[in-house]
Amino acid sequence: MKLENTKAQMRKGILEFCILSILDKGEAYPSEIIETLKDAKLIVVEGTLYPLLTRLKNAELLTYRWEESKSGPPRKYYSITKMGSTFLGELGETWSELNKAVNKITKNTTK
Amino acid sequence: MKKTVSVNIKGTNFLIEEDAYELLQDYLDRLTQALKNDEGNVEIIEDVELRIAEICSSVLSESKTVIELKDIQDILSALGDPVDFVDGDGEPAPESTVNNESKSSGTDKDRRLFRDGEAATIGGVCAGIANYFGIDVVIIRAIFVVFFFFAGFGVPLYIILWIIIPKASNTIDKLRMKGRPITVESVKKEINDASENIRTGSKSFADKMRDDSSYKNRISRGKRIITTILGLGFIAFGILNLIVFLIFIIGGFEFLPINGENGWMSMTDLGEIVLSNTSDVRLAWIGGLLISVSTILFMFLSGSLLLFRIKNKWAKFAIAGLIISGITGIIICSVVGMRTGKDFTFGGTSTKIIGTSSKQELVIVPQLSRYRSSKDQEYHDHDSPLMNIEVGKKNIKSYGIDIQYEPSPDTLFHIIRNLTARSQSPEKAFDKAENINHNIRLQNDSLYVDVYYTYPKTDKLRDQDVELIIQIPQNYSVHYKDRVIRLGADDEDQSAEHPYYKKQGRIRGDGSYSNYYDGNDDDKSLEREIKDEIRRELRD
Repeated sequence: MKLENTKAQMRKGILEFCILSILDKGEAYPSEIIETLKDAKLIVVEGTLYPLLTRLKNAELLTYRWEESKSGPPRKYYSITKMGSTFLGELGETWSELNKAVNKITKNTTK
Repeated sequence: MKKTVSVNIKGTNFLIEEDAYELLQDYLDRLTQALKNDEGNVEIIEDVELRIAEICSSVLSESKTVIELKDIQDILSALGDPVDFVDGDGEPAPESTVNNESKSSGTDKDRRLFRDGEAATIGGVCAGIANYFGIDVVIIRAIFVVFFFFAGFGVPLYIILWIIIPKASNTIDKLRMKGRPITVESVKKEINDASENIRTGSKSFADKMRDDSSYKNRISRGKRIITTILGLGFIAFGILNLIVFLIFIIGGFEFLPINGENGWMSMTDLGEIVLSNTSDVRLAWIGGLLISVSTILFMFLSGSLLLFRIKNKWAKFAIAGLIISGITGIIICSVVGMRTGKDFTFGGTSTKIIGTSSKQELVIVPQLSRYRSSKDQEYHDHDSPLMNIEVGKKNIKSYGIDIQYEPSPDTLFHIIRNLTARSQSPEKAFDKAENINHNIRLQNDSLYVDVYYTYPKTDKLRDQDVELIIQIPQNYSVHYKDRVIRLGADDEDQSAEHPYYKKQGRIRGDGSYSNYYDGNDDDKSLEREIKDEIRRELRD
């Protein structure tokens, strides 16, 4: 069992949750999402994001629109759908439950 | 100075250095390959391209108009390797689980035995086994060839393995077969290698059988089978030769059943007593070595060229060289052979009248050698000339003498002894005959005869022989141990092929007697005894 693998697995699980949370605050294009995730040290390589975005879009949790950019190529602005919001709500609940559970367990075991 | 190319990434034109372009192109290729099984692949690639275009346009300015290699390197390292995308993807598809598994568990544990259809000559069994053990396929093939020709179970074994070992049919199997890690890159490399193999046309024979039916292909397949069989045969013959050669050189130097100074004899010792001089012995060795070494090398080289269909200019030169050296060896050996043969051209006979006897009976008393070795007794009982010689330091001792019985012109026994030998001239032959040392003595009615004779080693083996001629008067007889030899019509051993009044015999080295023409008369006497017994029983 490699530490890197486990870390990646843990991150991967919450990454979708985080992307949805970011987009819940307002629409964004990938570069912006990447910035946020990088600041939070949630992703190591940018490439990880794109398959997730596409998958979430295909699951109709996200949608996007094109917008022309003055400084470069057109941008793909992603936003959350209604279905995505519901999904996010449920994920949020699960997350807080998980959070509590993990805290409880780690506290108990460290004592 | 660097060459630049113009590219269009998602509707934006960039000037990019050629090497940077190649790097980028390779990255996108690998990405496409990595996402091959992903349903949203087109969009993912599109997103990645957009991101690249975006960063590219952000690095350009008034003063910087070209995307450099370093820019692309930075972008790609920020994006991360396509392999990591797929790994971090968490797609529940079977491919990705396989990927994760094999990445975490070691590669050697996952190594499995498959038949390698790409490297196959027949069914890819050998290639598969070689892959499994990580050794060269040639070694496995050689082992099979040995099994095939020596133990005989190579063919059934191969067929059984052909049936039970699955063929590596997809890329993952092929990687497992080679014990390589299963990652996107290794899969891609394997696919590239495979397509290259197909391009160069090295398709397995079995595949050809299945797929192709065109005339041209059938010809080449037939050719392939023939060359493979020929190649295997050549190599097997080479191995056989090598074994014989090694036995000669290392194993049984003294393997000839001749009594030499130290037991048995070697080829060199035999050469020394057969060939005329030491330079001929040396030449014969050189010739023999040339022949055997070139034959072995020729067999191995041409066999492997055929088997593995190698076309090499130098190999052809080498084969030509081997043929020439082999022929040289044959020529040398023939010259030596002819020289030796010449020494057998003339025969010489030295005749001596031993004496006469007026007695009614002549008793032959054999004188056996005092020094005769007993360990190889059985060999001396053969009548073959080589089995009956003993080679000492200076002399060669030969066992067994011939006797010729003739009618006497008068009423006396006449005993004559002929010593014979051969050489390149009548004089030399006579000298060699005279060199034979044989003791014979007639005393009253007893003839004391040595059953052996010696001659100097320097005379070589030149058909030296001792023959007694005993002339027997009418109705008189010769006695040898219990045996009575007499000439005449009443003799029951008389045969149509032999003159009425002539008979032959031989005293062997161990003192036993044989009739020259039927060799084994012990059986006859036994037969006679049985017949007598039957007759007696019938009478009773």
